Amino acid sequence: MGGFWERLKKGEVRGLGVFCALLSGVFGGLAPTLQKMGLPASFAPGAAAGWATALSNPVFLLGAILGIISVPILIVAFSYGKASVLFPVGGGTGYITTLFSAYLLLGESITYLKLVGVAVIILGVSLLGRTAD
Amino acid sequence: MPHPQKAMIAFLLAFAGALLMGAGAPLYKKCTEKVGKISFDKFARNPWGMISSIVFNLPFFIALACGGGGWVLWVSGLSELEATIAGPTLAAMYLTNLAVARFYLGERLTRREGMGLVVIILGIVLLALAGGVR
Repeated sequence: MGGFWERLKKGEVRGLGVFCALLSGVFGGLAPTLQKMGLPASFAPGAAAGWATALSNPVFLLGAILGIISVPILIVAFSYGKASVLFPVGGGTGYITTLFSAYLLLGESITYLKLVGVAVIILGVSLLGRTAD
Repeated sequence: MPHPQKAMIAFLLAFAGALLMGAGAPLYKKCTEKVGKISFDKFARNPWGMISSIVFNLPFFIALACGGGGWVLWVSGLSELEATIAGPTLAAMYLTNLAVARFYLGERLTRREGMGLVVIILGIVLLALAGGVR
């Protein structure tokens, strides 16, 4: 165990880049679902009361925090591997996590059109990622 | 599914929010130019000096405003959209991210990146259709 922590501190653990990209994707993908869960049903964007209620909801805040911390985790991932691989891994994991978490937690439907839309976005992100190395 | 007109407004809010958040991101890079390459050793030697030279910059505050304002717009759209639609809409961040990096930081856009952007736009249009936008 001690050896593992030493190797982790030095950044010598195998697959750390992919792990961080996956973790970033899961956090980033849960963010929209949790924020949607935490929004009050009567939320009106123009009313301060709705924002106050949302910002005092722990589920909404957790979603916002996960969305924020997913970014530095992806940046850490980039320092351990190729951006062309890790960019679409992180992005793809995020969109798929949103689809399934919203299906499970919010009861949203997964339609063919949504699946195709997400697949096309992942393809576009992978094209960007290839040049980001 | 919300009324098509309501869905359109919500989708445009989420899309605009993502575009604004994406525009702010390259500005953070601009703030690191004074510091150069960030390393743990460099940070440990003078942490406050490094943080202050990144934070006390106009681009940093503009980036924060873009991020905060974009998030408010995106959550406003999310309140009327399904999370499965609003979440992937965040991919629109790449569009302004690359545009600002191109024109503000002088980074070159390759043909492959251009293709990637077109494909992302196509995916977002498909999601908009799935979300009831007509």
